[in-house]
Amino acid sequence: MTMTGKERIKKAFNCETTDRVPWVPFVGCHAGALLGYTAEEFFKSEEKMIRGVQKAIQMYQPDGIPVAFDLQIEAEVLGCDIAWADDNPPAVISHPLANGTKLEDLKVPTADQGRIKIVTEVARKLCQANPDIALYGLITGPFTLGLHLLGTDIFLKMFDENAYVKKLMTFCKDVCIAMSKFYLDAGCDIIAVVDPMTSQIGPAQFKEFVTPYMIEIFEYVRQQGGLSSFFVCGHAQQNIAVMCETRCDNISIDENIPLDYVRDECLKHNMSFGGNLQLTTVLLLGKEIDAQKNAIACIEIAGEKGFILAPGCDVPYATPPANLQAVAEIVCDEYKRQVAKTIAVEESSQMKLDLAEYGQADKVIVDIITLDSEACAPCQYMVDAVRKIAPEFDGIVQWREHKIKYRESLVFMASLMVRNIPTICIDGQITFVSRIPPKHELIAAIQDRINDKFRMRIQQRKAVINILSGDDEHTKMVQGNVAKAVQELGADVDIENISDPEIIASFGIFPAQCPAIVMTQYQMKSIKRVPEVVVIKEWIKNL
Amino acid sequence: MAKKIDIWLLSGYLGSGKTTALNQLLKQPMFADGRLALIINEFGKVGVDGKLIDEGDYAKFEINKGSIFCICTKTDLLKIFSNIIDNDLADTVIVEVSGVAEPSDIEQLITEDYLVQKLNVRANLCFVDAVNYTKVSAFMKNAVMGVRVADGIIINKTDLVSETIIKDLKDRLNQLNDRAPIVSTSFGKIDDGFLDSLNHVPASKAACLCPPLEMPVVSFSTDRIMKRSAFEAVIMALADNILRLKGNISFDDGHRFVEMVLSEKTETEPIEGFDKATSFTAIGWDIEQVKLQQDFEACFLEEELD
Repeated sequence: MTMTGKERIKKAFNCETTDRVPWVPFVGCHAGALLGYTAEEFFKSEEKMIRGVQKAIQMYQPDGIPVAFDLQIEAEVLGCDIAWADDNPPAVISHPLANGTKLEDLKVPTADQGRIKIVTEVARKLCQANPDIALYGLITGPFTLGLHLLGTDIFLKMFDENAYVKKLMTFCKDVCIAMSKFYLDAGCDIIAVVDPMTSQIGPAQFKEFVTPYMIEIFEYVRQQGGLSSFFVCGHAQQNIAVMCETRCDNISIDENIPLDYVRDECLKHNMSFGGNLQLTTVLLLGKEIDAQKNAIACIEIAGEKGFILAPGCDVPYATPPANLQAVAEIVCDEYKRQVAKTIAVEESSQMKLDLAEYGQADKVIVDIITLDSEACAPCQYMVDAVRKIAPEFDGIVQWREHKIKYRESLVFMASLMVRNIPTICIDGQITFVSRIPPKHELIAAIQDRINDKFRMRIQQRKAVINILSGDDEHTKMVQGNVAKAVQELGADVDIENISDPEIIASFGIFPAQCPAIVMTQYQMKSIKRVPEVVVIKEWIKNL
Repeated sequence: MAKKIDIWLLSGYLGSGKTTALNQLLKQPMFADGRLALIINEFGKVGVDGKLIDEGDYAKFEINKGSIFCICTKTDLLKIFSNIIDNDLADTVIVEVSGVAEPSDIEQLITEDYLVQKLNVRANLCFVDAVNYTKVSAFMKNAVMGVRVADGIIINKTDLVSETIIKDLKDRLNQLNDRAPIVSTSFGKIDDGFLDSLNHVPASKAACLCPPLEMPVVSFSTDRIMKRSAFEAVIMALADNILRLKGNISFDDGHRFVEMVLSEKTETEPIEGFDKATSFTAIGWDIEQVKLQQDFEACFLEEELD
């Protein structure tokens, strides 16, 4: 039975079996980009945030999604100055505890302060509108919040004023618990404590300055019936083992940490884990197939237990939506995943054919690229469609299936630049992609190609009429008739009068057989390139 | 093939003097005479470091990154590098690397297909604050990593510490990275000859050239009394294994505030504000935490203060 996204996420968090891998795109200001809003417009408006996240839900088919990916909300309320940007979350640019504010004067925020009011209302409405999706309430982790409040002096004070740093961590923990309450009250299912700056410290400092506070936060979430995730990013591999001891339900990491390492550490504690699609090189700058390859690699490394597929961190504002949709496709569609996987495995090492001249044989060649028509329904329907109409062209059309489970077929597919399965190519041109054409469309497409070829043949044909002759009246009559025929047809034909007996003999004609006419036809087949053997073979077959 | 753009990376903990040094570099012929671009990136200082940089004839980019994640910063850096390349803005780029970023991340970014054809990391300079480096290095992973992958190390603010400390610090930095030349300076002054002499080793390789060092931190908070002679014997035996030590210690010959910076020790009257008579923290260097803990532990007498 198909699970809802929320059921899937909850089961994965509990390391139980799911019907497929759960998928959580960490969409923050990118949701604003989907509707053309700047990050500032997006994060300051309840209405825009709701519409943006709804748009992301519609486009990316997630099992879970964050309400707001902005780690400056608490800091802003607590007095940090904020610099806004159009295509990034805002930035903290001042640290009140480094500028004279006393820690004792800071108060744990209330639900109606600053943008906390906006995001909790967004959470409430998104939860109501999407009961089947797990909503993540993201809060700034205590160590990162501490850095926002104190600046990098925190590292000096760990030595100079150890007790002060612990007092600060206690305050930040209280803020985290308050924020967790606001999000849980609004209906969120998961509290994700995002603490990227912990990657700056080692396990000993983590245990001293992070662990006790995290344990309290996660315990609070558990008591309230929520699930918890610990997000970290950067080079934090050294801390994964101690993160597992904070008793959260899930750990989420980015591409800086090997997923197999996190898998092994988490599963030792029967703990769920997530990550680590590459944000910049793949999701932002790559193409759909790159995103799919990366997702498949993550899924395969992670295995079937306790894994949540997610980007390593907040998706960049300008990420092409098609890349995230491509990930959603292979998550939701096992068949598409198989196709992408096959391409992914082979593509990097394969040779490509030069098929620039492909399809110049007299016959029209219809290539069907499939996974395997015997094992895949759409492939079978596509092959059947072609098989049925081929007899109507009575020997003019030649078709063949290329099953990409075979390496040579995969090479052929890549050489034709085919990206989707199944696809029909007519004379090397991608014509029908992942769609079984109705009979009349397929016939029309092939007929168009036949007409094109006919036109090309006329245009490309070059002929010479050789008149092999003596010097007699018959020859003159032949020459006159040929000239008249060429003129009346308006044909592009050269006329050569040949009287040298040796040349005449080279045509296999005896002088006694003259006057004779030998026509020579030329066909241009290739210009400025070296055609592949497979292509030349096609030409030769038509001689 | 067109000449690649030289990239100079300036790394170091916030407060190590990178910005001051950058202003000095801008005046030196090596940079002042060419087409230069600056990329400024510091945690929690958006728009601030930018204002501290002297105005001049160069393109200046600040990474205005709300998100503090290193990965997201990469995205911005990529955009800026592309802008510089596509619009032919500079022959040399100085990147002031955030104190919380790993220089190796930036190098990794430059190995992307498009950028590697156009950019060349000329050298990675790491600034070390002579006053605070020994404090921060045990707590901040990147303070150590920055030194390990540097091609040249500049000990800054040397006017604020003694010659002994500078010499000791040089020795320690040399243990972290014996390949990079080290110079001492005040106010960020570096001469062109030093910069010319630097050879770049990619960060991924450089990080592996010296074995890692343990830098444990141990703390004591107790009313027990420490035997002075035992304590002196320990710090003498561990002269090469203590980076910092600071706190009140109740010795059998009196209650004192002790501070050690490398091998230099000072003592004053105890300071207020601690629950226990003995409250101190020590940062070790190339020593296991258990040994550091046990050696100090053995200095305590059985009796407690009344």
